[in-house]
Amino acid sequence: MSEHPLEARLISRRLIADLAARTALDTPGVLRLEPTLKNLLTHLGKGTIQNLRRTDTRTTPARHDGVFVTVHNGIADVQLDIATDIAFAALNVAQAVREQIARTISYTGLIPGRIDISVLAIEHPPTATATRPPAPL
Amino acid sequence: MAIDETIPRLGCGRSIDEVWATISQPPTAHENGCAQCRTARASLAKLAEAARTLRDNDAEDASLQPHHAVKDAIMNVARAEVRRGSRLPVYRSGQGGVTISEQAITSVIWFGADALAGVRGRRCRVRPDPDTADDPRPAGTAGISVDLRIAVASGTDIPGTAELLRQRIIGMITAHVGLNAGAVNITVEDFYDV
Repeated sequence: MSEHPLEARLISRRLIADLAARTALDTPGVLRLEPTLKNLLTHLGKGTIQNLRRTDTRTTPARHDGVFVTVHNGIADVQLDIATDIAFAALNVAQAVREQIARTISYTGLIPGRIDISVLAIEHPPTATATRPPAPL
Repeated sequence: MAIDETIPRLGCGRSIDEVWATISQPPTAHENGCAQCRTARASLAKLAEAARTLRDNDAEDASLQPHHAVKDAIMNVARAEVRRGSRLPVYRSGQGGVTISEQAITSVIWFGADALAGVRGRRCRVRPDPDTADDPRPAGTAGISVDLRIAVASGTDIPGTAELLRQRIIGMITAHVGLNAGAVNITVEDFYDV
């Protein structure tokens, strides 16, 4: 038996939010996370004076914009707001995000709870919008 | 009629700024009767409350005066949120669900309508099919109904164009949203000169 005591580690809400955001952005068809008013005001409420003095919020996006996570009794609930690529079926993308996030959460030792996905925008990718008109069916 | 697309407008034609200008006053007769204005006022009321809190803080501590970019960010997000409309539930289960904003679906419909020669989209509303609106929905079974108002070029074959547009919208909703389009109601409300 090792003489070194085991180090206790806590899976934080912030870590789950980070994992969920990264997992969503790695899913094909997800363009970005979508900040909402609730998200922005929550961010400001929890922030500091630095947030209020920030000169350009567009260049310093919050890492977890569009992600809400709650952890209770070892169960992690996630609410995610996303924009999807019009080349993909939005519902299929959202389902893939739900499944991937559930899998990612289970890797942390927590139990995936409710995972709610909202598709707030369906768009062409930014680089394609300027050069290519919508493709007719 | 040219519409300035840079100004966020509700489906009833009013701008978000018009609704915001009277948010501290009782709703007008129009706002009482218009579901979109009521929704917009409900959303903006939260923003008004947050703005009041910020003003109170500023009164106590001048150093808390927020940078104008913060106000701009809040207003940009608020406008975007009102434009998004309601979130339509398209999948529900015990482990969570999926919603898609009304604006996301209508943007796909606009792509289909505007790409059709002789058609200009005017207004569009989407809603869940009434039969399944309150029931749990397995994946792939959600349906929506579409009410689309358009203007067509003079001399357009209206029945033929409307049917072509309807098939086009059904195809785009299936391909790009992943839903089944039940009813697609098209109203030709105006002509325009080519």
